[in-house]
Amino acid sequence: MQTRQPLVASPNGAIELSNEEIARYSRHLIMPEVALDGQKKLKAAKVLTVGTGGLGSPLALYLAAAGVGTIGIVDFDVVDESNLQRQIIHGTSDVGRPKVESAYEKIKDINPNVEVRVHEEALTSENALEILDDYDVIVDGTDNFPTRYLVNDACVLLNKPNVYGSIFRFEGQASVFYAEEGPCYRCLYPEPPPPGLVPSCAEGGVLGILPGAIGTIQATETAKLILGIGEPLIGRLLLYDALGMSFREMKLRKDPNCPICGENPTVTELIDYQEFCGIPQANAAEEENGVPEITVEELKQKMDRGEDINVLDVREPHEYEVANIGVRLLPLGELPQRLAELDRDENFAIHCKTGARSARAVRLLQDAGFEKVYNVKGGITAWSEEIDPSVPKY
Amino acid sequence: MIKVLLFGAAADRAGTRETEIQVDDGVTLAELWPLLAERHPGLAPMRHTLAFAVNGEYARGDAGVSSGDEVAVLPPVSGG
Repeated sequence: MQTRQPLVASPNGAIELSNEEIARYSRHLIMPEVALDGQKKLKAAKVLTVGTGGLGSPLALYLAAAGVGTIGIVDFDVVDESNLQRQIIHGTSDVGRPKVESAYEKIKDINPNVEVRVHEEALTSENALEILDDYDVIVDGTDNFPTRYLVNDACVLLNKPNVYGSIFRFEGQASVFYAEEGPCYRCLYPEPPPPGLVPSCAEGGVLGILPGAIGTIQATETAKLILGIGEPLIGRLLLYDALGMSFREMKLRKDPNCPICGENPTVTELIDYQEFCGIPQANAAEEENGVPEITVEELKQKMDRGEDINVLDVREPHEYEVANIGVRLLPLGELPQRLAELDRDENFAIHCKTGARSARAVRLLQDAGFEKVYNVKGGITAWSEEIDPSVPKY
Repeated sequence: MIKVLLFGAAADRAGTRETEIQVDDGVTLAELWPLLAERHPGLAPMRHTLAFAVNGEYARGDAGVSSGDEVAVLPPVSGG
């Protein structure tokens, strides 16, 4: 039945299943591809899920139900209302709690036989090797580029498979990066994108169901690696398009010049991944080239005093429909063509959702000769939090 | 004619998921890029962060493309 060397050796007599476990795993035990030996391998296996968000939720739930013996969960975040649309390991009553706490309880409820190891901290260059070292498979369910490169590099250095998945709007990707047998993430993307170029789920949105599809693919690959069955996604990038409801596959190649898994590696230890991804540099540049700002309190006072200030909302109409503060909508994308509608001599305060798009709008107006233009700090989100809670936060 | 498939943020920036580009036989991916970026200027800043595949196989800039080929443009995705 095995098509490859299982990641976890046959535990033979070292691990036994109780009668309760035999009943629980009955549907596995009757399949020759799993059977008693495979179920013991799953029980002996240690899997680390990095992140208990969109991908980490289905991953951890299914791996627990399937009988993976030890599941590590790394997350430092707390459950937010905006997580509930997709992060199904957390419930409404968990809002405000640490994610690892609610994840721990859900896993234990699904399968009390699982040993759950909680790492309530951010994965960093300082702790990653120590945390990952104890696990057989690492599953990447993180939500940012620095951590993705960190997980990749740590897996290469420790010679562990990295079961990768990522999601954006209606599209997902999955692969297994295992430098011993194939390419790593850096072979595919040697350079991280500069900050702000590729939107995150928080910026671009994501269909709540999408991580269910990708997370379960990651869980499937994890189980296959442990059992040594089937054909893993090593050297293949699977692309899923929920709108077209189609899967595509790209063959990947190991890059002999890869800086970490190539023939002459130049990265031989973990580095500073924030720096590698240009984040401190971008923050410094942002501070240096910052645009004039106005806080929501200041704006409110000016509006209450009836001061002469034009407030513009540069978000999209579908966002305006969700929440607005009754000011003029002029989407950022239309601004360059509609400058003639605005008077250069007047005062402008520009807001968006949190302040990034409106900063671009301020620069655009400045470049067009407007002098009295201010960015509303924190956008409509800050307005909702500090001025008017009846404005919904989205 | 080369069929270009755009994914994720590249599709958003280009405003389309699929486009066709006329090229002479024997051009490389690196030579195809300016034609694509000219047609969809929003893509231009992404050049160094994109991965490409030709006919379903990962390819670098020096890979040749010819009429009838399918080129996939794959930006990195961080969401999880």
